[in-house]
Amino acid sequence: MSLWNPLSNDFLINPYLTYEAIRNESPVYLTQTGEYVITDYHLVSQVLKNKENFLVGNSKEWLERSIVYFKYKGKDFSAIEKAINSFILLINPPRHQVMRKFIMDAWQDREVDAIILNNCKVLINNIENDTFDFIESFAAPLPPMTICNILGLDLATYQSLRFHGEQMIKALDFYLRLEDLVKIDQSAKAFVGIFKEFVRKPPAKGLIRRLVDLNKSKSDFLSQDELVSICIFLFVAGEETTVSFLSASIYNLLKENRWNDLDRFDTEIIINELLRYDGPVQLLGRITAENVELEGYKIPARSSVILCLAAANRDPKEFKNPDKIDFERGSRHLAFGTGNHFCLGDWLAKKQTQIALEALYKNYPGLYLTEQDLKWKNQLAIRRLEKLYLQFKS
Amino acid sequence: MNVENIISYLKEIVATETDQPIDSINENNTFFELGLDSINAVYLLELAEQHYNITLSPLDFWDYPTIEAFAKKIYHDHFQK
Repeated sequence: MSLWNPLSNDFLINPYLTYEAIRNESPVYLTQTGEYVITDYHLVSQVLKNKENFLVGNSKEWLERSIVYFKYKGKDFSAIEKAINSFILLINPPRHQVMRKFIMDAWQDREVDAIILNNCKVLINNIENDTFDFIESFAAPLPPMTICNILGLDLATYQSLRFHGEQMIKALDFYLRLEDLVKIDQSAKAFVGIFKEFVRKPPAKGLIRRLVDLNKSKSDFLSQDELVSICIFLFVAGEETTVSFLSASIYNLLKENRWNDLDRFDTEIIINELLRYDGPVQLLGRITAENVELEGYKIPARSSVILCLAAANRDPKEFKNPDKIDFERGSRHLAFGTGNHFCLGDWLAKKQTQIALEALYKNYPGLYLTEQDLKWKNQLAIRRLEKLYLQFKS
Repeated sequence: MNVENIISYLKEIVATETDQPIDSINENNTFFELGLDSINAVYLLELAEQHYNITLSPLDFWDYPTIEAFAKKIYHDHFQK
């Protein structure tokens, strides 16, 4: 059997053993499925910075080809293409910089602390029992609530969108099945339908309003379809990643008996190390533009490359005792990538996790994992817990 | 049910998919050599799952890359007593 079994149960529970085995075999590992998986810190960093030879957009290309293919089989998945057309993480230069700058210009307002804190309070107040599923009662609702506040959307819209965000994120995953395409398409349809209305008639306040106004002031430089897709991207990119990171962070702190360290260390430092130790984005795709040689490893043109950020962040050549949480190491992790596609929402992810951890610690100083089994979702690119039962003891 | 039955079913769907006569499909060629890629693999996986009422992994096509190996895998996992 190949070392690369990302759909196995063992991998879902602990992918780090596989990452390590693959890195030891070869830092640029050719899988049976034909992708080159890169697990070495310096090589991953090099590739992320090399936008000429390593293009983004494998999943977009693959989905677009699938849509054409399945059309001939009588299945219409065209909503997926509409939904993801302006997902900037899948777009190459020169269009990429233009779109990215446009979003940054509209997204000036970074004063979201009060929104996040308020959402945390609401969610904590709603927790009634001493034993509760942290995902269901806190980690899953917080990020989409916050994004809806930022976009200017009301509670009803939040309710109807949050599950679609969870489903839509599969569009960025690897090794999809037909049923995944069906679900992604359902959610894409729902998103496109809802955001079309909001782009046509934006809420009085919030990021959608600012995007639409900015676009008008630039004489409609983006089409309505592009604006719709940007809104979907902002929602989807900010939802599942933060749900993942928040729940993994709580899990890792409790599992390693580090919960009380929230008293001893600066939360920012804790978060930085947790991003290195077990970050939400495990895998990112690239395509080689031409034949490339990476420190002696040859990759042919048009190959799929899987950058394993989570493995790079555990590379023993870069981090001493990488499998150990160490708040004093001052890590330069790659959890948000690096180079021209560096995560646009890193500050929001960090801020949300920081405010949430501090609020939770204040309310639940005695928090413990329960005996109940953990459950991981069946997804690779963004690894995330599906259930995490916790117990509060005063 | 035996491995032979599964091989002939797989030959049939590969032949239809790639528009080749069924006699020209060799069970020892890789799916890639037979003209399949990661997209029609998604479709054939679905057909095989429905036909046998089983669940397969999208990676099975690559871990068991010929019709014969894939048929043995299906037989072994789902039909061998």
